[in-house]
Amino acid sequence: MQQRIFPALIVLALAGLVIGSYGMFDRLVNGLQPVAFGSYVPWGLWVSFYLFFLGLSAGAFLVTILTYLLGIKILEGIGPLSGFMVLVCLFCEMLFILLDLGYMSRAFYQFFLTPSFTSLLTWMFLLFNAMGIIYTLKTYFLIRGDIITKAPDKKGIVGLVYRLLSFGKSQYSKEMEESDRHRVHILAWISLPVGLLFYATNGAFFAVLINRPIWNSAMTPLLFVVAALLSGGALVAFLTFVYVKNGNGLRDNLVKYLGRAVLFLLCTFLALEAMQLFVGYQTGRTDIITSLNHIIKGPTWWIFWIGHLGIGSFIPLILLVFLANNPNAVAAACFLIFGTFLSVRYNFIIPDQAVYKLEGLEFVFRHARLSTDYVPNLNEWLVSIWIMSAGLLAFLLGTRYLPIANANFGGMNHAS
Amino acid sequence: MSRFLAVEDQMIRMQRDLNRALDGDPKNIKWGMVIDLAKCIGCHACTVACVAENKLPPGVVYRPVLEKETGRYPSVGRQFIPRPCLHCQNPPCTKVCPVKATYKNEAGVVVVDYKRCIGCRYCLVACPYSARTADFGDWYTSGATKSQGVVQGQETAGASYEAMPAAEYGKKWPPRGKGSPVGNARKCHFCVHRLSVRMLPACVTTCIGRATIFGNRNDPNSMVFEMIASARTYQLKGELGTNPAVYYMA
Amino acid sequence: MPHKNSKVLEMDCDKPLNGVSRRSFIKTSALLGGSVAFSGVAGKLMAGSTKPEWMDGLGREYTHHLIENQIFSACQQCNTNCGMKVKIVDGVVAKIDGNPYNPWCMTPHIPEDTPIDRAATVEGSLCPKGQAGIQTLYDPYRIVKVLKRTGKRGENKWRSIPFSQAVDEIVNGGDLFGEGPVEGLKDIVVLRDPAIAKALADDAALVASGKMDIDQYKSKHAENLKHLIDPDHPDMGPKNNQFCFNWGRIKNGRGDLIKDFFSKACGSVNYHGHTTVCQGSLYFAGMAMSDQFVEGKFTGGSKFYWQADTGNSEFCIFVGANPFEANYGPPLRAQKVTEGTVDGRMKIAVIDPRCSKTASRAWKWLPVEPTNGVPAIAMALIGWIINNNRHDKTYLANASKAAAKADNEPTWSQAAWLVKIGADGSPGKYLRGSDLNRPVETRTKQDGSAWDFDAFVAKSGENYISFDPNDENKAVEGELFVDGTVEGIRVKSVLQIIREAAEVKSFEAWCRQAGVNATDLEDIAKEFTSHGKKAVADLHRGVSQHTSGFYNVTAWYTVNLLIGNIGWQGGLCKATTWNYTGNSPGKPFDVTKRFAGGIKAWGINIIRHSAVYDKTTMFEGFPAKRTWYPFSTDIYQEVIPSIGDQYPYPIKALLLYMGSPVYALPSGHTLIDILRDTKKLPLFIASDIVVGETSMYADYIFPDTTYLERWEFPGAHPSVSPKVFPIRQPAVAPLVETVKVFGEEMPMNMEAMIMAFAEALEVPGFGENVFGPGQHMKREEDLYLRMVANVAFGDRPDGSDRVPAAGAREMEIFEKARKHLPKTVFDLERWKSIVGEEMWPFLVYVLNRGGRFQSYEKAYKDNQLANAYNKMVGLYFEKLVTTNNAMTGKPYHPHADFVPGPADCTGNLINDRELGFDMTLITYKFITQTKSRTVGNYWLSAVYPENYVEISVADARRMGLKYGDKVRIVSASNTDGVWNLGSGLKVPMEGKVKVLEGIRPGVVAFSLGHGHWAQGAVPFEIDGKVLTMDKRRSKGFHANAAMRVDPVVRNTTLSDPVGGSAVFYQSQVKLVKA
Ligand SMILES: Nc1nc2c(c(=O)[nH]1)N[C@H]1C(S)=C(S)[C@@H](COP(=O)(O)OP(=O)(O)OC[C@H]3O[C@@H](n4cnc5c(=O)[nH]c(N)nc54)[C@H](O)[C@@H]3O)O[C@H]1N2
Ligand SMILES: Nc1nc2c(c(=O)[nH]1)N[C@H]1C(S)=C(S)[C@@H](COP(=O)(O)OP(=O)(O)OC[C@H]3O[C@@H](n4cnc5c(=O)[nH]c(N)nc54)[C@H](O)[C@@H]3O)O[C@H]1N2
Ligand code: SF4
Ligand code: SF4
Ligand code: SF4
Ligand code: SF4
Ligand code: SF4
Ligand SMILES: [Mo]
Repeated sequence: MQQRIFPALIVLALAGLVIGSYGMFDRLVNGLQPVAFGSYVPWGLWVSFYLFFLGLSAGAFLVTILTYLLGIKILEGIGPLSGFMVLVCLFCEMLFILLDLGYMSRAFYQFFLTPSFTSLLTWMFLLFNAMGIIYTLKTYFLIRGDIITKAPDKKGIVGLVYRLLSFGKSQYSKEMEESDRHRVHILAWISLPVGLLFYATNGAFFAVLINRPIWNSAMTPLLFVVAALLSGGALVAFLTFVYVKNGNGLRDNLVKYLGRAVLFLLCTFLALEAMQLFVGYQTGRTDIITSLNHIIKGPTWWIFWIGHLGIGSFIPLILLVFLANNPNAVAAACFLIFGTFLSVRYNFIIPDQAVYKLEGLEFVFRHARLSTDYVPNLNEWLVSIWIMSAGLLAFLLGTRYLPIANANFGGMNHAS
Repeated sequence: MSRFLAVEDQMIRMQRDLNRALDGDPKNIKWGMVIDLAKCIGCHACTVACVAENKLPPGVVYRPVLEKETGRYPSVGRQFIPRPCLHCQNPPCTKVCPVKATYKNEAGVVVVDYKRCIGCRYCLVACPYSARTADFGDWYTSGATKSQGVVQGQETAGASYEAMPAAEYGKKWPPRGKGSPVGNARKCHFCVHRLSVRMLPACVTTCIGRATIFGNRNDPNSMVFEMIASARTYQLKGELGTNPAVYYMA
Repeated sequence: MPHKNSKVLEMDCDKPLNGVSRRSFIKTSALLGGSVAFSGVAGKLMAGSTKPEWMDGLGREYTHHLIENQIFSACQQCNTNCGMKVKIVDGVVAKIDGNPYNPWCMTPHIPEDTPIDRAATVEGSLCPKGQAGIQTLYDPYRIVKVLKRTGKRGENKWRSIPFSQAVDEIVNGGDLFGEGPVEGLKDIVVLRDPAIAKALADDAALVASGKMDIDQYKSKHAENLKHLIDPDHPDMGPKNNQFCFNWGRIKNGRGDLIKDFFSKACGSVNYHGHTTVCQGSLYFAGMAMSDQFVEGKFTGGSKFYWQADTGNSEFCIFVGANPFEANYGPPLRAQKVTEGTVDGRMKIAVIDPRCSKTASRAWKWLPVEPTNGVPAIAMALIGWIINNNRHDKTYLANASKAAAKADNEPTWSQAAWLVKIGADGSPGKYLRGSDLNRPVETRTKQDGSAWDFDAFVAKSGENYISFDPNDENKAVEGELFVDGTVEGIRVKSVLQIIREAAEVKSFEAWCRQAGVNATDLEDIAKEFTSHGKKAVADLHRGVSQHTSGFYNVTAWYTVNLLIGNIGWQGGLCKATTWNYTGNSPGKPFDVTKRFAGGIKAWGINIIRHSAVYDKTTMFEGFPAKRTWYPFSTDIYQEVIPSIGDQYPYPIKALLLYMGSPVYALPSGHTLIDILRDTKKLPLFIASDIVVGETSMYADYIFPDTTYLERWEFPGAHPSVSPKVFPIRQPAVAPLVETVKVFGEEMPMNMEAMIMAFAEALEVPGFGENVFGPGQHMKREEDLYLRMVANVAFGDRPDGSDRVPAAGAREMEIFEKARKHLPKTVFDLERWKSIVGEEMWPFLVYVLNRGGRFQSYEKAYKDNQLANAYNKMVGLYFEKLVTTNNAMTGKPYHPHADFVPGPADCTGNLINDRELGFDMTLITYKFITQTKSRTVGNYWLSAVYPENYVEISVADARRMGLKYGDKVRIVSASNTDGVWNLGSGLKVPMEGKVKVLEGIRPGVVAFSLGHGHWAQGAVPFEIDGKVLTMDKRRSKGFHANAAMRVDPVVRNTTLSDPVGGSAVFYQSQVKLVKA
């Protein structure tokens, strides 16, 4: 990454932490009192962000699978970066969900004391932790060589971290490299079902709910997977553009290659979405139509039309089709796609909840938390800013000081 | 029509039904409720009685009463539908709870264990009847004046009836804001704390229209058993297969 | 159809219903099943042994079921005053539920002899307001200290001052506000000598009747003229009358204490309640109809009304009455209607411009035109019933008591009495024996003096029979329809007169006038006349609060009379309570006798009630300056405007108790300028629990205890068939400060305030030895416990009507349940000593049950009401036709009739519709709000946070309005559509539109209880600190200020000149988009 951007981003992240800290403080001291969501829209911005990061992590996950399992060489350059990316995303996801819980502290033990395996949330918890462990190890083994070898050169805190992560090793032998490769490969194998299950579970999490017509459909997990691939893929393409050295036009090729995949995913996604809208409207069911209308012409219609379709789809589509050979354009398109993907997540989460499940519920027992009119409030944004800034900081520091972006494993051929 | 003089309030009969249930084999108890919409006058007494009994905070409600107008002028009707938790015999809400904090007990009551619940609100989303609300820790008295001494003031008022939660599930909960049930999912529990001391649920005893019938639906002599058999009786959103233990009479 | 759960048993109609031994009444012991001690599952739980799984995890912290945590009392969140059970935890009210002993909460209520341990886990129903009462008690804006204004009146700037200082300032006067001297009570309550008072009063009466010359009066009483308001008008009475009391909601006990303070201790005639804002004409039609013929006069009518015996009628027409949402009241009446209609006992029809919740469940809803529809329907029904021969001829023919008795009828009426018809065809006085040259009989009055009995006359065949309506032996039946001449005198029977009034228009024409479908009304008429005595028309505010309220009510009662349903099971019922004042033989404490040495209040009162203008010295020709009200009392809308006009004389001090006339009255905004004017009203004191919409204009506000902290005896309502005496008693420690009066420590409440005034003024009836040697009246319970004792003793002189004595267990519970009450409220030894050791257990029995309640089955006997109204029912009011209306100079119209409205006080019709005010404004009560006083109950605002401008779909379309649009309500007398608070603040009458199918086009309705500008709805200042407002309390709007101001008197709403009602349903308004 360009040296100029880095400090700017660090400043941005720090500023985000400072600004967001007020929201975090409020949240930690006053529980969920400061938030705008309630009982009829129990999940709001934070869950949307969770899904947003889930999507990003999925893209990164995909790259690691392609690279380390299927051995697709072209992506090798961003392999460790992707692994790390998955970790950072998981970290953000975890924070969003933890803070969304009414009784946060219990999350740390209750899952172990009385887990219920009929709940997809339990499975998500397990899979999430599995993903965390796998990707921590995977990332570590991917960069261990560089850590050990570069440790002596590093000073100060960074040096300390390097030495700590070296676990006393000062030499990185061929055997070690070999076994790390092997480990990464094994982990990649494990991560495949775990990851797929994880991402599928997230879709199923919503799909199993009856009387939630927008979610309660076999289409949901599929849509989830495509959405995850699309946003994640776009992110990876963008990160490739930013992080990978453009030796021999390698980066540009990679970006163009990814751009084509993203274009394909975008088209698929839009087609699925169109299908969902079409089928939804055709049912003639009031609840479904109300939900869909909420997306199309509700108070936040602009999220769909401007955010998602305009900036997030139409412009990228133009760029990806007509400037497919311009890596800058592709990167920009990808940036727009993943950058606006929150709008997709938001429009997934909110509209189903924006419909009263019983006729007349809106007129009885009034309270802001018993309304389907949900607009995220300042606190929710501040907390979100804090979490994202924390994620950004972690990402920046990791990519800056750990041998992630530049790690070059020299291919995985031996291990395959 | 011949001449009638009421000899007993149905409340007394239900009280007898309740006592019989409690004096009998506990395994035979399956609590149930029937709400006769023809008798419901939309008074909202049950709503407020429940709020008062369980000291529910703002935004938490176990039994709202839905209202709607039917017909066209001048043939107009109004319908009132009280909606407690329906205590589904096949509850979609309990299955989704990741930590078994909510479950259907042996007597058919879907309860929440406040000490387990992590507040994920998955069950809220899963309930097709919006019968669950979460406690976000709000106060009714906040928003009122803080002054004290000449007027009672928010703090004194709040301390008098809001700070100390009700003995839901027969338990003493910490002062409001210092732990559960703040942060938890909350819902109607058929007033099990009252049942256990031989009292009918609060919404039942205060029901002005005598529209709410409660008892052991396993007991053929109970009023609730009789009413379930009525041709007017149906289950709300029956097509979902939730099989509620709260029935409605059209 | 007997119900399959056997909740009702079929009764044998031929056998009497009373008697405890009847098989139909389950023995108490078997009533509830189970055992007192916990057994079975619950027992195991309590004993801590193995619990069934479903009780796993249940703790034992719930304590509401324990009898020692319960106090049985009476709700007052609205005036229904249901029985309640207050559950206490750690000295705090934790929950309120219905009292199962009280017939308001259950039908039938549980037998009185149910042990209270058993009643601990049984509760009856309460409405949502009753359930939310905790929030009235613990209202953050409740005042706990005396407030004195520091700014101008209504500026909402206050200082808290010590109670004793406030009392001292008020009693002694001085320059209290830096605005110049203010007379204290001691300067007003000046006439103290009973002998002088009597002499002044007796001669003043002579002056008024022209029997004494004013100069003669003045010279005779020269020395004492200083006590008079105006020596030129001695019949205005003493200066004491310038101390005026005005109350909103008050009940017995409390009412006796404070009213007696004004009337008997201070000798003021000015103590006026709020009846006419409520349902005045209903009461005063009842008063006129219940006048009996006593010693030559029609007199003694009680201020009362009838309602349906709801639980036993088979067809009930609710006219302008809404028992599901308001009325007296939902818990008391709704169960009887829902069970009745759903289980097949009864049918109901509702006549209301709005599809109320009651109407929504009716067999027929008639969306009546509000301004004139109610009387039109009554006239249509009267005509239809008579012309279809469906009236109860046997009943109506009875002209005397003996005739009624012979037919086993509890009442008889004047239907067959003959009335003389004047030359112009209008009816006048009754035909009397003397008119037919029959001898007049001299009889002896109860006081020993003589009176002349001049018989009434009815026609039977060719005979004109003289009769005495009270004769128990001579049964006289008369022809119902007489129009003839006797001895050259044109006569008609009363029913003939009424029939003719009904036949002015055809059935269809009346229906058109009322805007209802004639077929529907005919169905209703048929149904009404198909159930014998078990059909009834039940009336309330929608009938009475019109300029023709009196005639509307009498017309509808006439409809009832046509089937003779008064006193019958399922017919019209009246309230019956135990005597509590003890002024009947055998009673332990006659509390009415304690004012020995006080003066008897006399003089014309400020609102000119029960007074005839042209029989006073104030007569200056017609019209009078303001309306006089010879046939009603408690004319709420007259008190403050009369003070404003200083008519007939100025008032110097006004005490307002638990009322908010500015908020409650139609066009209440007109009172604001008067209240702000310290010249017209030099001293204004209020007793309140908050700074309210009216008390905010006071000079001093005294905090009061709420209904959960105090005593009161709510009495009954006409639809309560058993004889009852509910008791409100302190359930929780008062939140107000403690003060010292008569050397006794007590909570600073209304009683303390009054007793402190009494102590400082040294008026009789308070203090040492007033009930006899060593029996003081120094504390509220000195009065109240004696009253309870009277009730416990019962109404039979031999004491055979006494309640059982409380046993040891009950005594123990009584004490335990009050352990949290401070000595200033409850002191067992002191309480015992007031009534004596011997009486005490009987009181405990009553107090433990929250009152005394006759059992349900004892309230019925032989298909009749055991506590029936069993007197003559008036249909034709000779009193009216012989009295001149102060505004027209003409006699009042004497019988039920269609009297069009809205009319001003001189009888001229008002037609604002012509001015473009195209909608008729009506109002009603929503179940979750009471008047001005429940807006601080947050649980209730959650259910219904704001009210709406309710209009029909047709009107919405016409005006281009939709749900949620904001509109302002303007009228001819309030073209801005605002409340001008006088202090610069203006509150617009602006609300959100709600479009309904269930409302008559052309009508706009709003519910009562929102749109506040006090009680925390605006910020105010105390002791220099600003108290922030709570925005939930200012939600919605209040449109009373849009109601029509009388164009003649100009500072008062339209009123019914006979029944006194303030008019709520006849104002034309316009909706203006905001
Ligand atoms: N628009 C409209 N207006 C109406 C009606 C309607 O249907 N629609 N209904 C009318 C009817 S039926 C009536 S009866 C009148 C009632 O009118 P009011 O008799 O004037 O009664 P409230 O409005 O109850 O006013 C009572 C006031 O007393 C104070 N208060 C409350 N509790 C206590 C207490 O414990 N002690 C003392 N000392 N003060 C207390 C509060 O400040 C409250 O504002 O309103 C009438 N106004
Ligand atoms: N919730 C609640 N209940 C109360 C009270 C309260 O404040 N709140 N107050 C208590 C008191 S003090 C009283 S006096 C009673 C009053 O009890 P009700 O008189 O039964 O009740 P209201 O709502 O005042 O008016 C009755 C009905 O008259 C209708 N109405 C309006 N205009 C007309 C008309 O022109 N013609 C006809 N036929 N009907 C008309 C209204 O739509 C309303 O439904 O309620 C008592 N109960
Ligand atoms: S109504 Fe909702 S909360 Fe109640 S049992 Fe059924 S699904 Fe669960
Ligand atoms: S909110 Fe509580 S009860 Fe509901 S699913 Fe989550 S943990 Fe279970
Ligand atoms: S049963 Fe109890 S908890 Fe459930 S709605 Fe009724 S009062 Fe509320
Ligand atoms: S208390 Fe009874 S009548 Fe009133 S709303 Fe509830 S169910 Fe209906
Ligand atoms: S009707 Fe409601 S507010 Fe009125 S007295 Fe009864 S319970 Fe209390
Ligand atoms: Mo009233």
